[in-house]
Amino acid sequence: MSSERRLRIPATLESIKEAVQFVIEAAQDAGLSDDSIYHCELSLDEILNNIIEHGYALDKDGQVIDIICQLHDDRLVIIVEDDAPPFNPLTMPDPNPEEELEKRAIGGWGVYFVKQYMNQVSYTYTPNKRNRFVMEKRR
Amino acid sequence: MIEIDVKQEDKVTIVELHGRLDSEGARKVRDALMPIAEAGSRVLLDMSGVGYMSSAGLRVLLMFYRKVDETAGAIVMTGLHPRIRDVMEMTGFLDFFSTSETREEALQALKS
Repeated sequence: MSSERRLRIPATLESIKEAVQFVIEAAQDAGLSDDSIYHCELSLDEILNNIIEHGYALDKDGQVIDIICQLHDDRLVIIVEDDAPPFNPLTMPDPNPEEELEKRAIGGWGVYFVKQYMNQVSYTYTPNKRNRFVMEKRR
Repeated sequence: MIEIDVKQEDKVTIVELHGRLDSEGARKVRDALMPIAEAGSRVLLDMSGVGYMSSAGLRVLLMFYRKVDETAGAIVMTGLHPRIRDVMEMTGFLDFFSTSETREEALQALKS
């Protein structure tokens, strides 16, 4: 058994809350543990912030982001689609957790969280010219 | 939403955060914390009211740490929620920040 839910939000920082709530509810309904729900919340927050602040950086007006949750018996799949210029966040080099704080890069930790906390992540640029980021969390 | 309470006890600045340290919360915390990082400042950061922290929150902590470190000050964190502790461990931040189990211990460490 599986089911799918969709939400479209404007590409604004203020809309992240609504999307986060949407994913929390889906994660609860998919039977994920509290820690796993937190990891989904955090990962979505990071991905949406990246899309809004970097992807749509120059042109946010009228732009949207779609969030699709697929609930399966054993996992939750979260798909995030946007129309910003093609960008694969997974190609960003990982920051180094052992580097001294004085020397560390300020950014790059968000995608690192997503890679660490989700069981599977992937990126494709779709034929209809959308960035499609897929994250999966198992029960 | 995040609330930031700042008070002075002896020579220690006590900062209490309550709420979400997401990108919006992180901006507010940055604006409130940066002016506190003066020469030799000793700061107790009570995180017991924070149950959520994204990378934006981590960035602010890093910026604050650097500023305090530059001025030969000290920061001790207390009240870390297990999930936030996990994030800070995974990213290696916990190796650099001083943490205390209780606020009293943190105060002692900063006064000595």
